[in-house]
Amino acid sequence: MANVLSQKTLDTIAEVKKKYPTGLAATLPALHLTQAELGYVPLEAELAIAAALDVPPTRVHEVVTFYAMFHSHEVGRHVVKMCRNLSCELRGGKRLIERAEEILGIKVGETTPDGRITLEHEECLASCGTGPALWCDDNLVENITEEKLETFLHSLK
Amino acid sequence: MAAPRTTEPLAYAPPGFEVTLSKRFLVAGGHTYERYVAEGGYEGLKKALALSPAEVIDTVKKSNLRGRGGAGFGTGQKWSFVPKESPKPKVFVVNGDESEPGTFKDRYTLARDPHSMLEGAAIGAYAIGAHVIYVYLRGEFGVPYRRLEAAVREAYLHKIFGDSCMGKGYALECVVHRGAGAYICGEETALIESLEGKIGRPRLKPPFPAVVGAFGGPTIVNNVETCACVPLIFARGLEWFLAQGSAGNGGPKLVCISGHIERPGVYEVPNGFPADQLIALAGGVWKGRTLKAVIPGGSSTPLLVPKPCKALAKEGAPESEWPLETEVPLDFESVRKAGSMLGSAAMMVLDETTCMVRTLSTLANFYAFESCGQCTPCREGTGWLAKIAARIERGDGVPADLVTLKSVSMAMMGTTICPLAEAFASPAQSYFAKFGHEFEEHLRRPGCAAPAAAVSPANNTAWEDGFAC
Repeated sequence: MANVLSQKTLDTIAEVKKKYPTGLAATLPALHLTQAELGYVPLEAELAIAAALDVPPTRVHEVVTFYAMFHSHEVGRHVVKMCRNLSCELRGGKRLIERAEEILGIKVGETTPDGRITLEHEECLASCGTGPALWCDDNLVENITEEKLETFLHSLK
Repeated sequence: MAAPRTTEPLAYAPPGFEVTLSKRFLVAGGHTYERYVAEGGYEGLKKALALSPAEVIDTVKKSNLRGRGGAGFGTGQKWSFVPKESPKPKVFVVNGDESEPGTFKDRYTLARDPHSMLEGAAIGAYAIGAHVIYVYLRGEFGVPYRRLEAAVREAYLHKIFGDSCMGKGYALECVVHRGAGAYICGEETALIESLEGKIGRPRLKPPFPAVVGAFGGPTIVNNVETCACVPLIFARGLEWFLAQGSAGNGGPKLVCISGHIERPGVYEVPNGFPADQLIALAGGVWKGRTLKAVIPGGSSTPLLVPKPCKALAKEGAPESEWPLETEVPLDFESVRKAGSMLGSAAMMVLDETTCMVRTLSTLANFYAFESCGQCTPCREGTGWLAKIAARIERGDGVPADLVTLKSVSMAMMGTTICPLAEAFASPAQSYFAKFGHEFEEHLRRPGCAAPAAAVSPANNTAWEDGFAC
């Protein structure tokens, strides 16, 4: 458990903590850093963060489970989040989500057997003017068409 | 990132209108300090720092700048609520949690013109006596986050932030805080909770954040665009700023337009620009189709339809002269008169082929997913509306469903801590009032009668990917 997070991440968390008046306030940044390192937030990491910030582990756990971006379980190397909200849907978003399921052979919420891609829904990416849109690896892919979707999904290694 | 396109920036503003808020959106390097300062950036802050904080607040009050995040509250008035003396440090927060479906203007400001927002935040912090600015960004903002972090570093380097803002002796720190995917954190007290490292559950008011906010200190939360407007008041002057708006609504305005429209995107218009002209500016309803309805200010606002509206007409005018609801001037009062809200000025256009049951069902899913669960009428109400709308759409509805939808939405009004429940219940009622026949039709003849063509492949080249953010 002690080594679930690298020293580098723990050091960065300690740095970030100084920016806020309370340790608790560094919870979200600490979880982002954790997820950047591990891909998800295992229970052991929650405990490590709680110790680093000197807050009860439950405070960290409730945050992990409340916010859509944090994963409690292992996910694929790439998480593809496809918008299913209105502006994207009006331009074909729903059909593209179904198309992604076909291409990957999985349903939304699942991970490809090779651990390459986890497919998820997203509720509006603030990309309504360039919809349909998806978000992956901290970047937007905009104005998606079927061809573009297929090329993009195949480009993820 | 590919080189920005610099073609046709005027396609995004009315001809002859001088753009300011979106001036740098299509300019290479528009997000850098160098470029911002070359265009007169940080002059507004300099002028504001020469005034007393009370004078700054007074000037912003006179400017009629109203919050651009949705509520439309007077910015100067909000600032004036902060007590002068406070045992706890005061805090200035920028709300960059842009998550309202239909809204995407702040993403462009953050990624392409972050210094304008930082300058406005610095003026606001000075005005209320805060020595720290937190910029709360929604978690899914990648490029905007990286650009903003870079801009904050530049601002420290050039002594905007640090021990002495522009050498005037006012200490000012700036911290960028990333959210993690929760619509509710756009509500200012939920945002404060999230900033404090907690789950985003709105607080009971009073006390209002201006008195007890982040970390217990008096706190002002302003939207990104609101902040970006503030420097203009000081750099260009009150008169200029007032001239850009309509009565009671100062300054230029960014509007978003999306959905069934030829050229979706962010447009800059004077406050009070008519909705139908915005649609025309954006190339009209796509594919030559006719307009069925618009959602004028983000998904939380009631529908407007192309039908005559008495409330918008001059007193005593005959019905033949009533303007259409969809011709409403886009300012807070006019849109309210027409029966909706300007909200975040994010217009979604629905063409004749749109199934309104499906539209409501999609939005219901969103609100049900995003309800924080704290208040029963919201948690249960959004969930019920989503389930019932979905089954009507599927063709599994029962005759009493429309009555149930209406009664559930009524039970959500005015019964919760924050406005999320009403943000869905109120527009939902407009769907029942204006398109109740479509729900009845779905119930009579199970399933959707609208052609499947309502959903078509993407055909959008307005903002190409190389220039995406």
